[in-house]
Amino acid sequence: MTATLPEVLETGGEGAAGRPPGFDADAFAAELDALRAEVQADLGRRDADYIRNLIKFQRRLELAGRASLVAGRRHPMWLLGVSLLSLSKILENMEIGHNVMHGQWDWMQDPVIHSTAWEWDNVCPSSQWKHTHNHVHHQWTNVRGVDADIGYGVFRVDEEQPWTPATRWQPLAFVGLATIFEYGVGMHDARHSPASEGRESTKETLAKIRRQVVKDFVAWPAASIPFGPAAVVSSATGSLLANVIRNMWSFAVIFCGHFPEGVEFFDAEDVEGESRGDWYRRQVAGSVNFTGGPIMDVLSGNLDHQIEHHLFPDLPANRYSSMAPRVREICARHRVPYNTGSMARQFGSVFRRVWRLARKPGPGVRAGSA
Amino acid sequence: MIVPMGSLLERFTTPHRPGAFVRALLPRLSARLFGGSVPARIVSVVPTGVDAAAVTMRVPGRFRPPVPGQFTNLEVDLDGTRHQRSFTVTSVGSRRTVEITVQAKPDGTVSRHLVDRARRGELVYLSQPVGEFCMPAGTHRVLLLSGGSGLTPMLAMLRAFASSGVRPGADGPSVVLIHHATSNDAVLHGEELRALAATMPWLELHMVLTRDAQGRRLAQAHMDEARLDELCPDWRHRIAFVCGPHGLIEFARACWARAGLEEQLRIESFGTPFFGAELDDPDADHAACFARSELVVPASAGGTLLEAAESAGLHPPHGCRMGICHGCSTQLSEGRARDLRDGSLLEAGSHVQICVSAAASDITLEL
Repeated sequence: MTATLPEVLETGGEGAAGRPPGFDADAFAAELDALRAEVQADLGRRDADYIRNLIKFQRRLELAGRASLVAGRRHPMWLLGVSLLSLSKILENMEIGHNVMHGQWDWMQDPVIHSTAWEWDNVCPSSQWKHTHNHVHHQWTNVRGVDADIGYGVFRVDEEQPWTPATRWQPLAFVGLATIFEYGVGMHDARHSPASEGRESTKETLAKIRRQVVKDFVAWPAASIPFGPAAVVSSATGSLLANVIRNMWSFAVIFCGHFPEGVEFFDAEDVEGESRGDWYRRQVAGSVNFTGGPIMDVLSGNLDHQIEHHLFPDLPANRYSSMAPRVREICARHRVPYNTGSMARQFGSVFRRVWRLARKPGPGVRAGSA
Repeated sequence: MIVPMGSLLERFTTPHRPGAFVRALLPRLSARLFGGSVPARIVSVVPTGVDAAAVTMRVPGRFRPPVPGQFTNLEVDLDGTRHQRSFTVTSVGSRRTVEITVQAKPDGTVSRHLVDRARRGELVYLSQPVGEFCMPAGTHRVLLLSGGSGLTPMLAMLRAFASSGVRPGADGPSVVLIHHATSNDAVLHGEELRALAATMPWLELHMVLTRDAQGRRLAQAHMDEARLDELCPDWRHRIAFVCGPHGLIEFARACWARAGLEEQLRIESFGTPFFGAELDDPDADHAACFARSELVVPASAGGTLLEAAESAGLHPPHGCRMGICHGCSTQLSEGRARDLRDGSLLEAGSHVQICVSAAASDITLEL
């Protein structure tokens, strides 16, 4: 299925058909717009230094990790290499790549740190990611039939999704997908990319997979040849493990973002005629935060502030943590559900949902819906 | 040898360029190896004219000495945002320092910063000098026609002439400079210029003031062919260099074209781009699709694509906003665009400089 955007859906309309009674969408939008404008006006040198220093740090980390793996025949060296490289890949994908591709740093007018120029260390080509993620998923968050990221076409995470016999195995698939998450994302985005008719996107994805595989499993292991065959093997296994660790971590972070219990899904009819305030409300109700300090912020690419990210996807992510208390306060006054909790709680909740929805729904019961 | 080495290294660094890692590890070395532009430290900012300053910077040895008349693209980070603007190099001969002369625009981000706030020791980046607005070797009879900050390349050429010791030709002065300024005070490096004119027999200077003491525009300052004949009767026998506001450039184009002497005319247009293109309907609206951003915005036939993108909230990378630096070059994948400087049409598949081009049909850009 290709995600065709329904023509009737236009944010900026008079008001959503499914707007909860008593919700003052315009006042809600005005407050969030004001917060956005305030942060935007305050962006400056401090923020630019943050992303430039982080990129520099990540690259040094990557080189250090690779160097340790090249010479990593012995366990401590190998372990060090795996840790550094995993951390480097996590930073590169999450706090750097994902956010740069959102255009969060375009205001710096740096030709390299720019959404039109950035390519990330991941098998999913940035062009496809920017379509399915930045456009489809962020605009139509949790709208059934439009946002292809609801369960990624693999999992039944919403009662309204059809159950098939294969759904029974989804808890198992859940663990499996975590380890190869980047490939899952790559395939998902190639399938939902607008150019998929011409097989161009699949070709593009395969070319990127080849480059990534050559780097991780041919080029770098080959650099270990002077250290003997054992070093070649341990370099390759180190790369593999670092990729898996990055995959599992980003999988966990991303699944915590939209699928824990309590999150709202929407029907296309509900969002018809959405105004900016309705759109903001849907972003909050369809997203979930988890708690953590500055370390969690940078490791999760600030997706522990998934709600703030969905409200302001193109504001620099380093600002989300300071915006969060104010967003939460605005939401509380407007009675918009703001879902937050520990990462363990949120992830456990996602897994319970996947487990629960794996079971065949009883006859005549549309579980969970009114 | 370099190329296969680079592509081999890229197997290790994909999706990033090898240079990205060298930059992270050894910033100084990488600037030396890969950097197109050089770091330059401001040495002095000396006011000249009105609301203008001569900014001198110390440059490393690998900065190529510019040919007089060339410009450099200056990059500066102001509050986190990178800006790039083009400035003529006005110094001549010195290898370790470079002078640019900056006329501040009322709301100019970079020019205001350089004139009002730049301090000694501040770091900027300069591209190697570029531009073809220079004197061909052996040129002796020239007419320099300028207005406002269009004086800067002329000044570089005059300084070069002065230091090379040009002698007056048998049939009149070698260099005639006709400069338009709002007042005598506003002339950049005015004192030096007048001193040159007084001491150098080969230089004939005509200062045309365009405003009276009250700041009112003077009608007689308007340049036309009769006035040109009066100030420089043998202009048809000279190589002419013209740099200044749109009106002056439009006049020169038309005048030299009528005389069939386009070959002898060199033009540099600074400031806002020269929109010489004649359009059937500059208000005609087309749709510009920015493919990567998945955005379709209206783009008028008479406005730039960069402005159209910016008013839609995009921040496409760009530099000079005047068609010089190619920092905004973008692939045109569908439709036709028009270069507003000369009206030429650009076909799908080519790269367009979006800061000086408009949509000539519905178009798609890889932006």
